[in-house]
Amino acid sequence: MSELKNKVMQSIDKNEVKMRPKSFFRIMKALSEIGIVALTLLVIFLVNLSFYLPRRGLGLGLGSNRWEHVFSVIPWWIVILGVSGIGLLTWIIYHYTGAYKKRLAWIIGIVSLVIIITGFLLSVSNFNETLEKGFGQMNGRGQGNGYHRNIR
Amino acid sequence: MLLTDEEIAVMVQDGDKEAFGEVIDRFEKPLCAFIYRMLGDRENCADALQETFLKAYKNINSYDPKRKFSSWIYRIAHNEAITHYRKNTKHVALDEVVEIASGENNAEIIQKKIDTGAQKELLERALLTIPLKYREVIVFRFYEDKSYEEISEIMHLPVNTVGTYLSRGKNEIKKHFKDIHLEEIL
Repeated sequence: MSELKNKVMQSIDKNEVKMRPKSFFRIMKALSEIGIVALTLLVIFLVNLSFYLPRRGLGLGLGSNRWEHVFSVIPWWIVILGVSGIGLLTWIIYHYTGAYKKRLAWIIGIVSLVIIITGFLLSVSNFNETLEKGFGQMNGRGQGNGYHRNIR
Repeated sequence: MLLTDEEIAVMVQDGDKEAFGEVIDRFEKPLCAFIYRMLGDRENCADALQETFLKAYKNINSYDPKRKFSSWIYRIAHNEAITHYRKNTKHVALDEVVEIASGENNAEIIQKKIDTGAQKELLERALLTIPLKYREVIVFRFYEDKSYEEISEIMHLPVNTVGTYLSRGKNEIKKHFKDIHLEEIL
């Protein structure tokens, strides 16, 4: 028996190294899948806000300094969070789902496209208005939750 | 009848600790050679190899018997080799090659090595001078005789990228021998 085999088998026999049960890997897999879905939904929501909030703001002030206004109503921190989220999501999908068989550029392109299109479609639906109404009713004001307050 | 690697892995999953001894018997030498070519350092190699087997045992239940067991265990060895490579920034063999390459009589030294049948050693040392990702692909393809698909699975790279790395790796090695007319070794 080789020295290495001896050491490894001794560690196993003495229970210094324990085999992880199958359930551990099933739970980890389920958790990672839930994590990917949750992150995807969050990033779609952020992208949706990145489209929706400027559109809301634009209706309020059009004039000679339109571009300056457009620039000022873009919720930059949401855009940055959204882009970071897309980056993180791409990284997780690439490394943990077997997507490595495809080119990274493809994965980035497909994930970004799906997220941006879904976020945009969500922003033009009445999802945000419904959400605002819901928050408004919860706060008893009926005027939305005020997350676009900074643009007024 | 000789059991396949996959059948032995299933036996280990089913709780047969002794079957893991057979896994060690089958993979100790090839994994040792692979890790050594990656690290070029025997001490680190032994540590990385031991860690590889311990992790393989610990995580054996994550192995899917429908897939090739050797690719699964090589993936662990790949991760361990990279971990040890990053920990150890000292690469003696690399310095030696640089020394040879920059010496006044480098052609003479290398020719002598060839004459004494040391091409293999020379190549292995040159291998240690190229970036790890290219080195690994070359080791898998030419020393371990793995297919592009297997390398892709072990390294988590697209098959096309494996081909690209292989070609770049060969070019990197050729660069080392360019001035001393040793391309024919490659």
